Amino acid sequence: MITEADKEHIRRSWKLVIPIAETAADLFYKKLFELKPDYRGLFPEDMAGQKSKLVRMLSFIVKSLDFPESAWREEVSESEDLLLVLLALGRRHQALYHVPREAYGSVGEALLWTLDYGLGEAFSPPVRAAWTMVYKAVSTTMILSAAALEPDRPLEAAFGVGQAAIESRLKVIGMDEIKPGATGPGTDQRGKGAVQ
Amino acid sequence: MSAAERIAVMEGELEGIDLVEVLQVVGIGRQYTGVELRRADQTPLGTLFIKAGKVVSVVAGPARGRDAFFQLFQQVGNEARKFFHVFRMETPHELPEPVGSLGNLLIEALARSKNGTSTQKTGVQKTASGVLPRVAAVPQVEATAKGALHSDAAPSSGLSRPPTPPSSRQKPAGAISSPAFPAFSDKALAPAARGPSANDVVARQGSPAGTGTARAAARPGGLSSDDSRSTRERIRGGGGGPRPVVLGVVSPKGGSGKTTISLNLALSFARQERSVILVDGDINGDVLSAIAARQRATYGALDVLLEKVTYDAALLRTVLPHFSIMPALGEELPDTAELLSDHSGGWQKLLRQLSAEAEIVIVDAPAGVFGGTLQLLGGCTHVLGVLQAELIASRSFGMLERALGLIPVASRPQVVGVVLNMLQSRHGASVRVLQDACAHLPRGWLLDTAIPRSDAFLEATEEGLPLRMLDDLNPPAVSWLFDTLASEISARLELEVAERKPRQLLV
Repeated sequence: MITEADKEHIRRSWKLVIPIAETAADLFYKKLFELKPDYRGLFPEDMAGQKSKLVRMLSFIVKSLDFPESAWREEVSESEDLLLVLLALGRRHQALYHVPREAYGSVGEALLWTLDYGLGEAFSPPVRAAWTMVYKAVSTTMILSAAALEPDRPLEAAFGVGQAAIESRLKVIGMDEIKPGATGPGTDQRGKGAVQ
Repeated sequence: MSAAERIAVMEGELEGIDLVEVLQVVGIGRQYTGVELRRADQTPLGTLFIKAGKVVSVVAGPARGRDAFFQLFQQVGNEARKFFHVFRMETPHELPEPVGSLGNLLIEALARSKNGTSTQKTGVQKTASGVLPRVAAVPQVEATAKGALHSDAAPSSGLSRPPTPPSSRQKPAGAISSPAFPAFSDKALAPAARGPSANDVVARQGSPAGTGTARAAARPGGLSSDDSRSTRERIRGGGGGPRPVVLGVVSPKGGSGKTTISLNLALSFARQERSVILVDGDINGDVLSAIAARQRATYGALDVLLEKVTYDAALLRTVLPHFSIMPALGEELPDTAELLSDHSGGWQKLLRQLSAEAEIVIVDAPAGVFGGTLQLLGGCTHVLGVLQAELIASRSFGMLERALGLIPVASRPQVVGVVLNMLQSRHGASVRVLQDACAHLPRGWLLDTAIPRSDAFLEATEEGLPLRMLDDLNPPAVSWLFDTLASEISARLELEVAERKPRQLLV
């Protein structure tokens, strides 16, 4: 589980990333394509928008985790709920983009490498452990949502009335776009898309 | 939604997905979320409600609250098949005081586990920061020239900042890892690298390592050294029973000697009076080829996976009472669709059944670490890597870590060690593999025992026998190394060892 101490490490270290987020995104994709050259074809030629999406998604994750334990009773909207957003994102990656499961490992490796490279000594073992824990929670949620997805079940059925709000959130984060005509691993004729 | 309305979020079978994983995922949500657990016949085992990492309420039969939480964990462990249904509901107007923090309750559930078997089912270990899956899912990376992104000093590109002074964690920029072992770092898969004894906290619960003359009983259920029963009886006997060991023998490269290692290691374990089942996980049926007995197989593991026969019908007995072999295939080759389908669930079930029959189950995996190997590794508790002492093998060996990272954390096996095989001490390239392995494999992975290349293996294959059985009175010298290897692995697994009897040389 993500502890209060983990949340604090995440919050503080993310503050250090924000001012140089653009460079961090550059490094992240550089590392990802180094690890998986095939993934380059899944993204648009111009990566500026993609990098922005990455930073917004990470910001959303950090913000979603940033609440005191004492606030557990407080209500949050469906579109602000990290679990629901990640489940929707995971199903989208599975149903539309056909992202292979192993991609989560490569993305995680690229993310930790970027943070390690960028934060220097600030990326201490506890900070690394916290980010590892958070990414593990994120990727497990997305993988689990994909694993539990029934092939013919519409996405809406899983989220009921909250689906529209969650889709809006994905749009805000920039995770709703499908790149037309993309080919390569993880895509097929039903939904060719970008690994987000 | 109305207060009583349930909105399904996800559902599935707890097969390859662990209850702890499901709860950890639900725990990151802030909505009022229910997790209902059901038996195979869909009758309910119980229901938990979770919100923002707090367990709000638990019901399991007549039990409520904390008792119900722990009862649910126990019941789930006892059921062969169980299903989970996650749903959302409107938050009640008045939320009660929570049963507790989900993380703390999971840790306590772990602490209450009485034996290692239930531990492996829940798949949790205690760490400084809470509850973690057994092996890190995300490969860790080497430190490089750090600080390039640090906001207080980085230039606009973020790349030209001079590296910080080197430390023990650092390597020059670009030197992500060793060319020979490209995917490993000294911290990669760190929990497994420490070895299973340090890793499996539940296995140690209430069971301190043997001390003094009692070399045995390092594990729960192990008996004291004054027990008069034989080792095998002790393995079978008592308490919650020993931790099952299902050892997958794997290598990213074909022809590394997995079958030879598996066969001869199995024999050495059997000669130590341990009950052993050797399973051929390779559809090519190399184990029976090695002992020139392909025609002896009526049924094989694949027939069991396809539920054509029960596992006992596929076991071949050997001349050693504690040693059986399950071939990969029987008389009939299954059709292509059956061969290509995913047997992950079947492997988990089969290996679980076999681990109840023998102290050690050794699975000779197919070449490579993906595909069929990945399917069966989910049913293994441990992995033995075989590293051929040739450069091409060392270059691909990093794939082992990547493959392990793809297995769900709850069912991911631990690396018990890596054995260097076919070492040619007079050949520089072969020795360099040993040097690289010493330098770059995660600490603790490389076993002390290395197997040299030897003509004796050709003779044994010609005779269709394991090495040690070539000549009882004068076995090939290299055959003793498998006894050494078995002892080294036994020690890492903390298997019971028979008490050393007092001896003297002179009458």
